[in-house]
Amino acid sequence: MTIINEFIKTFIPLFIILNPLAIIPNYMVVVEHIPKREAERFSSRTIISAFILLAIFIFIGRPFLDLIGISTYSFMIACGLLLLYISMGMLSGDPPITRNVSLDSTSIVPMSIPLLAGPGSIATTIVLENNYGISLVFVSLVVSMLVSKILLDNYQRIYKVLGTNGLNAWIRLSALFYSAIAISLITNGILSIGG
Amino acid sequence: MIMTILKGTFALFWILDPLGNIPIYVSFIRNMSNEDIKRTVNIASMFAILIFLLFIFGGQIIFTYLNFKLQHIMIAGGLLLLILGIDMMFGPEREVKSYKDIAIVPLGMPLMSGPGSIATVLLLSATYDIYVALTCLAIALVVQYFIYIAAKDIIKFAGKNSLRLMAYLAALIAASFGIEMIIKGLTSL
Repeated sequence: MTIINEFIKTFIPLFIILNPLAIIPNYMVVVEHIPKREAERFSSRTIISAFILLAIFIFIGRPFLDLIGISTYSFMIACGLLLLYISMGMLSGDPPITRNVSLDSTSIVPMSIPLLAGPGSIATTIVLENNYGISLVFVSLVVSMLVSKILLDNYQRIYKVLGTNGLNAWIRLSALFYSAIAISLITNGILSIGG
Repeated sequence: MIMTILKGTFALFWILDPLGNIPIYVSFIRNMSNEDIKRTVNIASMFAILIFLLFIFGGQIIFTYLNFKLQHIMIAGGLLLLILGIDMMFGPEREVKSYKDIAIVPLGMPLMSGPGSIATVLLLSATYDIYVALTCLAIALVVQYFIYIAAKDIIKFAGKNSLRLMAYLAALIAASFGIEMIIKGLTSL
């Protein structure tokens, strides 16, 4: 088991659940009419806020849950259910729907956080941290976020290639693997109830 | 004697978990006026006291004649919290305008007086005696009351977006608590 092997095993699930491509429809709505520099600042804020939230969960997620009295398995099952709900909403090709999304390009903490750092991403980081250790997951997070930033900043090129239909198709495909991830979170959660 | 009361109060306080409920509570009251907040906490606390007394003194009757057990209430309360969490995350932004919306449910029960805490009080009164249980309950409830009252002052400093973030985390926490209660209820049936 080389380090690269382990890194890939943390990077791929993390990047899949982060799914920056699925953010692009929402992102486009916000940055369509603003100059490129501002758009890039907005994407930076989005990426950084999601990064900080997820990093906090990587480092102190489980102790925090212990402190407020939530077992890890309950959290996993809850996140799985929420992710399942999100994925059902995506079946019709709409971008993931959560309430707290702020579409204001000037907001300091853009609430595109729930899109990037949604219940699926949070639960996945905790599971990965549990299995592979903090450092590997943290490095994977950094790399994923860098790649996501590059993708967001080049949204126009991506849109040119995929178009609305392509993005819709991608979202439907994402719904499929989100629901698979959700089911695995739920079943693994249930299985670890015994302790 | 003091040690017993201290231990009991601590256990009760742990189950009541006001600190864990704060994010949920805060996301409810963020738009309410100070007076309304005080009224909400007062009503919720009185309702919680009522629930506790009801189960301590009338528990046997309820369990015998109405034929449901505490575990059933646990599962129901858990489901309620789960649905609350889902609604907080996906539902439309609900204006919590007045205390009437949230004081009794979900604040009074299950947040301030959940089935877990009811069970703990009953356990205390069975293990020691009713006076110990009532003392622990009184202390825990008073401390809890002040935490909830103080919480509103702390969050006045927070900006609009950090409150949104808190609401998002609160939704996650509520759903997780819900699942936790459902599982605890199911596994102790």
